[in-house]
This record gives sequence, structure tokens and C-alpha cells, in this order.
Amino acid sequence: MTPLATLHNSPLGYPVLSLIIFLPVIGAALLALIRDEEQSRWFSLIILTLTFFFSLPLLGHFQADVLGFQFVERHAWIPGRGLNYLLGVDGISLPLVLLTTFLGPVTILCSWRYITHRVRECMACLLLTQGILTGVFVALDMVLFYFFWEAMLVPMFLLIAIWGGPRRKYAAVKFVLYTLAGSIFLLLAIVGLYVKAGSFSYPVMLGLHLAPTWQFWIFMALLIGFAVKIPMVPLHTWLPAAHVEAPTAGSVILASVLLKMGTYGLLRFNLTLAPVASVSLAPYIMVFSVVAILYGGLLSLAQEDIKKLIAYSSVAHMGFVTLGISVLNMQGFQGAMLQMINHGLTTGGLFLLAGMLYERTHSRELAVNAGLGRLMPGFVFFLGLYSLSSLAFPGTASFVGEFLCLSGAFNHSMRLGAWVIPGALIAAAYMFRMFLTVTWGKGGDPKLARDINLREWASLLPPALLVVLFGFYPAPILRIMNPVLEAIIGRLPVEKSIDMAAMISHSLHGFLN
Amino acid sequence: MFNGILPEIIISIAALFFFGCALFDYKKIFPWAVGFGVAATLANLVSLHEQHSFFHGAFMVDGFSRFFSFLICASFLLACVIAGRLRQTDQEKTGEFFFFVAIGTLGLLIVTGATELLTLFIGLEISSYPLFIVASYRKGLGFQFESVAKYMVFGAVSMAFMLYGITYMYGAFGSTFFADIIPAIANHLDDPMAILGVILFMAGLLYKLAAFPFHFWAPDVYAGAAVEVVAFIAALPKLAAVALLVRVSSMFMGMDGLVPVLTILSILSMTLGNLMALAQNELKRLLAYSAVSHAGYIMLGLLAPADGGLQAALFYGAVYALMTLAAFLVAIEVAGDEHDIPLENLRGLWKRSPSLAIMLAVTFISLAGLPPMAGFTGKLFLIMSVWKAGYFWPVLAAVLNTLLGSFYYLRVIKISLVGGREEEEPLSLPVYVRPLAVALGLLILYLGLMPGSLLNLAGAAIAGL
Repeated sequence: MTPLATLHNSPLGYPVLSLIIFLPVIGAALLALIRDEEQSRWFSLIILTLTFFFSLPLLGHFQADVLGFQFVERHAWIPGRGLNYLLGVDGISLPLVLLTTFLGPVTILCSWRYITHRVRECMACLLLTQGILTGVFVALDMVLFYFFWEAMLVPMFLLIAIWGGPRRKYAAVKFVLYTLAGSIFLLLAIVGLYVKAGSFSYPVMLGLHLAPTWQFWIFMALLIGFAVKIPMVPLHTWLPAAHVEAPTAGSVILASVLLKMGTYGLLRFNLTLAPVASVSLAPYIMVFSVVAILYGGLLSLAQEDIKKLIAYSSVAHMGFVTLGISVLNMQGFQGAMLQMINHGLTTGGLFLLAGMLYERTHSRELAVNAGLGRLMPGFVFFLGLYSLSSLAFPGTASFVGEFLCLSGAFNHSMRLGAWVIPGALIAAAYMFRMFLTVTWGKGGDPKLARDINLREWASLLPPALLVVLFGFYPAPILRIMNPVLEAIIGRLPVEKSIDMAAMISHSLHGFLN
Repeated sequence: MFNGILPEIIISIAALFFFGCALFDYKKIFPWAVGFGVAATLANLVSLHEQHSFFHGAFMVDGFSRFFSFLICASFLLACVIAGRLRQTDQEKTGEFFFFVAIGTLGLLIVTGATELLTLFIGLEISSYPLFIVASYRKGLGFQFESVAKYMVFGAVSMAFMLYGITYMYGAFGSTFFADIIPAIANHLDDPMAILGVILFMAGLLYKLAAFPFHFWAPDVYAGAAVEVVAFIAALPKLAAVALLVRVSSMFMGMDGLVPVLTILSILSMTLGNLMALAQNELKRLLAYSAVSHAGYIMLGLLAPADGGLQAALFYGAVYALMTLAAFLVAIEVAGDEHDIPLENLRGLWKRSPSLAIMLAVTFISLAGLPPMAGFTGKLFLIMSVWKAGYFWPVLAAVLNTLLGSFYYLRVIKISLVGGREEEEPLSLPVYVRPLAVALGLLILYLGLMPGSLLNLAGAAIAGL
């Protein structure tokens, strides 16, 4: 058995992973008993803060130098059908779990006054999303993973469709249908792996040695499922619609955590379950990543709507993540992981700021909000910080991630690196454009300017602190994930061994018989 | 030995009682119907482990037939609770309504236990004719006779197919008793007469299941008949059809040519049902076409008798009956006096009755086959077993159909949860509807997360075959 698949029992005396999944879910159910809107806000905030504190022992007791899954919980779920309730974290999932629980209270805080009708229901949706997203990152049984993956659609659909902007229904339906279209292939891949492995347990599947044909199709099916979520160009068109129409909390969840589900899946499942196919297909992902970086950046440069601008910048940033994964070397992987976390913090922060502007001016247009920043010093402080981080300014968190991605790309080939460099420039251009317009532009109504209050400080400050911290000192995260990433690289074969054209024709022939 | 047929006895007494009520024009039958339903369901718990043979082996009480008699009685009870107020039925015919429904249920119970072809055929007839009659019990209007005519003509034709199939099978195997047929099958695996007989026999079952190409009656009957009648038609006969299909395919699946036929019919059923449902703006028609597509899913399970497919089909059949009845609970409450139930009637359901709206969302998510609801778990078991048995294309079709189906299921959820004005009149619901809705929603969720108990029951039923 590969050391990646070893399961280590939890040193803690209680099921910590189940606790951080189900505490918010139970909280959502309990919200049905609370009638008062203000109480429901406080209740949700307390639940999610508690969840965050309960997730901290994970960090404290995590053994960074041990391979395999830790804090494992294992129960038979449906005996006889190979289904287990199997949870665990390793160096890839731990940072993402903590990111999710960390941003939980922030989503409540930013909905505090933004949501004015059906408050209780909104809080219930936010709590549900939180629990389900945590579940996605810790589930080690593929069906359990798929359960969480799909269950997330329901509260997200409601968040966008009920509390969103003017075209919210369109955006919500588009979001769900896009994701579903991808995830049916994910389901196919999971069942296909089950047919080969006889179990849905991911550690068992790690022991599989699939034929290249199978690997190819499994890789493709998984990739389609994940590419929609990431989103990779050309499957990205749901993202701007969903981001623009979603309420602030929805945007933050989407950008910060939900998109990471896709790249997490790519790194965790594609590369480990189909290593031969990964080596052969990685160049194609590279091409799509470069396209995403350049095209997303250019689109972002042309937007007049602040949220759309940030949404397209997300496409570009996630392009860096997929680039880092597809170059298949250590720097690339490290960069991708860091970029995932930093993008979560940074873009989450930017969406919070956009939401605050919207609460004041009821518009997301750059022109309407132009020049307001001058009158709101606290706001501009954070806008500046997050914008700089978004364009990967040295000293902010994204710099480290993007730098590692780039160096991974250069390591792969100089030409690839050369293609990506303009992306970094474009990022500076669109971020500065937004920052300058909002701060010193002309055309906004100064009467609407009102500096951020204590609650807004409370939601903006924690991610900002982490942005700076990781900018100067990313070592702790790197230490956690290095062993796993090395093990993943170790599983990859050195040379490409799949002849694509022959593979496709052969596979079709194989499936038909 | 009468413990074994206690449910049948209770349903028969109920039918006679309702007949008396009809004679004496007694109208307050609803509590009685619920009472008989509860009694019949509980009686199943007594008879669950009985094993008997009646009428020289023509009717068997075994794990399989008791599993289905439990499901049918429970659905009967649920349908009585949901539909018992008879909102669209002529009040004059209350007694007859319950009489015929009870007789129909009795017929279904006979079908699930029958182990002889003619008994089985008679059971099917007993279960069909009462439903033809109640389909016409609709007050006012007059459109319902069109639907009755379609129901009956299609029913008669497919029954004729079936009878024809039975004669072929008799010709091939020399007996109508399953006990004699089973040992003879091995000699007839490529006998065209036997194969034709089995396929024709299945035609009658596909009609009951509303599967392609015997589904044409479904949309018109669903739309034309009173909504409470449709609740019965949509759930109960489906269960019996699943029971028979599973029994038959467990016997004959080794025959040449059956797998391709069933594969093609199942794929067509799923796809056509979903495609047609996409365009519907009427709740009952939408549910009818969705029934066609779900019939296709259930048939998938028949392809993999050796890999747990039958068990999955039983599970899915039971879950489907539950989901349908849950959907009809809402349909009945939002139905007006007009002919149709347009989807617009669901608008703002969130404001008018939050519990119904949430249950409707749960039900439709489950029908669409998304986790964590029972519909997903059922579909997962089906495609697991079918792929394990080595058939990839039906799996791909099923998965693509999930996407296709979610288009219209999602639309219904969107209308009921998202749309609507702020000030809506609350629905006036009887007291029991709210707890019932919550219970049904929780049950669908429970079966999705913890399918083990029902799956084990289904497994035990299959083992008893």
C-alpha cells in the first residue's frame, strides 16, 4: 500500500471532523426554532465562530512529517455496497478546511445588514453551505465526497436565487445546470473507479493500477467535473453571472472556497488516481491555463461592473492554480496550493469590499462608485491591501503563490513562462484601474460615502492579517503540505506513455464491446 | 396460515365495508379508510416472515410477496391520507371511490403473490378495471371520458399482448405454474417461442409501469382524471409492476435477446420521458412524463440480476412510490377546480405554506436524483450494479438523463421557492398536512442518507425468490 493511503487515527478523543461538518448543519436546523431576525444573526455568528475554534485543534495536532490521512473517522455506512463514512485530512486538505472554517464567520458578518428579507432562511443556507463545504474537503469515500459536492448546490442555488441581484434566477439556474453538467461525469468516473476497485474508499482506490485507457477516460471524466467548478476556460461563463448576482456572502463563498473544490479535486483525485494519464494530458491543461490567465485578465480589464471585474480576475487567478498543477513539479504544486489559499483570502476580501460599496451606493458600476474611496479612509486601506495582494505585489500572500507558479512554469520550459508573464502585467493593470477609479475617480456621489463601521472592520481585518502574514512567512503552510506533494510527484511516471489518437480510437472500440 | 394473508383479508373487508357505505349513502368514509390502511399496514408486520402456498401453488406468501404487500399497503394508507378528502371527485361517489380503490389494491396484492400465470393475469385485471372506473369520477367538466377511454383501450390492448404471451409461454414450457416453468427454462434459453412469449408478457407490465412504448396513456390519464385518483394510479400499480418485472426477470434474464430489448426500452423510456417533460407547463402531465423516465431507470436494474440490480430496482421502486405520493400531496393541495394544475399554481408556495414548499423541494431534488436525497441513492445503486454487470451505455444514458431531468425539476423548485409576491394568501390546509409533509420530507432524506434498512429488506425479498 502506498504511504499516501495510510490512515492515522485521531489523537483527539472526539470526532473533530464530524463536529466541524455537522455543527453548522445542526445549527441550520435549530434556526427553525428562532423567530427573531437579530437573534438568528447572532446565533449563526456564534455557531460559525465555534466551528472555527473547533477546527483549530486540527492544526495543533497535525503531524506535518507524516504521510497519509490523519484524524480519520471510519464507520460502515451501507454495508455490502462498499460505502463507508470515511473522513480524514492530509496536507492538501487541511489548509483548505481551515480556510473554510476561517471564512465562515466572515460570511455571516457581511450578510448582517445586506440581507433584509428572509433573514433566518439566509442564515440557515450560509450555515449549511459551510458544513457541506468542509465535508467536501475531508470526505475520503468517493460517494460521500459526491454527496457533499452536489449537496452544496442546493443552498448555493437558494442563496443566489432568493437574495441575489436583478437577474438572480437566471444566474442561479445557470450555476446549478453548469455544475450538474460537469458533475454527472464526476459520478461516472466514481462509479467506474468503483467497478475496478470494488470499493468507494479513496485510500483503496489509490492502490489501483489502471490500464492507460481507463486512466485516460477516468481522467477526462474527473477533469470535466472539476473544470466546471474551477472554472477553466471555456467552461467559465457561469462564474461572472453567479458572482455578479449573488449576495456578498454568496460571492465570498463562491470565490474563496467553492472554486477551490475544483482545483482540490484536480490535485487530489486526477493526479493520484490517473498518474499515467496526468502526465500525458497535463500539456493540454497548461494550454487552457495560459488561455485562462490571459483571456480572464483581458476580460477583467474591460469590465465596468466591480464584481464582474473581480469575477474575471478570479478566472485568471485560478488559471495560475491549474498552471501550477499542470507543470507537475514541486514549485508548481506549492504555488498552486498557496495560490488557492491566497486567492481565497484576497478575492474574498475584494468581494466583501464590493459588497460594502453596493450597500452604500446600491450600484456596482465603477462610474457610480468613482471617487468615493477618498472619503472612506478605512475602506481604502483594505481596498489597497487586497488589490495589491490580488496583483501579487511582493509582501502580500499572492506574491509567493504566483511566484512559485511562475517559477514552476519556467522550470517546465522558458516558453511557457514567457506566455504567462503578460498575465501578471494585466493583473496589475486591471487592479490598479479599479483601485484608482474607486479612490480618486470622478463621478460618484460623495453624500453616499460612509466609512466602514466596526462590524465591517471585524470582517475585513482577519483575512487581511493572514494576507500579510503569509506574504512574509508562508513556511508553515508549505511545511504542512510538502510531504504530500512530494508523494504525489513520486507517483507520477517520468515519461509520457499515451499516444492520444490511438488511445481515443482504442477506448471507443473497447467501450463498444 | 391465515396470518400470511392477513393484509389481503383486511383489504377485502375494507372493500366490502366501502361497498356497504356506497349502498347506504354513508359519506364520512375518510377516517375508516385511514383506519383500514393502518390495519393492513400493521398486518404486514405480522405476516412478514410467513411462508405459505395457496391454491396448489398458484399464490405464494413469501418474503418477496410480503415485501411488496407491505409497500402496497403502506402506499394505500398514504394515498388515502393524502387523497381522502376527494377535492375533485363527485361527492356522490365517495363510497364507490373507496370501494373501487380497495378492490384495485386487492388485485395488486394478488399480483405480487401470484406464482401462476393465469392467477397473475386475473390479479392484473382485478387491479385494472376498478381504476378505469374511478378515473371517470370527476365532478363537472366532462373531459375525463377521453382519458378513461385512452386508459382502457391501452390497457385492453396491452392485456391482450400479455395473454398472447402467456399462451406462448404455456406452449413452450407446458405449464402455467412458475414452479414447473423454472426448471424448464434452461432448455429454452434460445427457443424463439419462449422468448417471444416472455417479451409479450412483459408488455403488459410495461403498460402498468408506463414505460416506453406503452406510456401513451399516462399523460392524458394523469391530466384528465381527478387528482386524487391519479395519486393512486401513479403509485400503487407501479409497485406491483416492479414486483412482477423483478420476478419475471429473475427467472428469464438468461434468455437470448432479452437484455438488448430491455436496454433499448429503458434508454428510450428515460430519454423520451425527460424530453417530453421538459416542455410541460402542467404539474400532472409533468409528473406523468417523469413517471415514464423513472420507469426507464427501474428497468435498468433488471439488466443486472447477478450484481444486485434487482435489489436496486426494488429499492428504487419503493422510493419512487414514496416520492410520487409526496409530489401528489402538494398537487392535491394546490389543485383548483379547473381541468389542469398549471405550474403557476405553485408560485409563492413558500409564502403560502413553507412546510409544503420545503417538502416539494426535497421531493423534486430527489426525483431529479441529486444527493443527499433517496432518489440519488437509488440511482447510484442502479448504475453501480448495471456497470458492474458490464453494461456501460445504459449507465451513460442514465447519467445524462439525470442532467436532462434536472432542467424541469429545477424549474418547479424555482417557481415554488423563489417566485411569488410578498403578500400571498396562506393555503388552507387540514391539520394533518403539515406534520405529514415534514415526515415525508424527512423520510426521503433519511432513505437517502441511510438506505441500509430498506436495502436490506429488499435484499431479503430478493433472496426469497
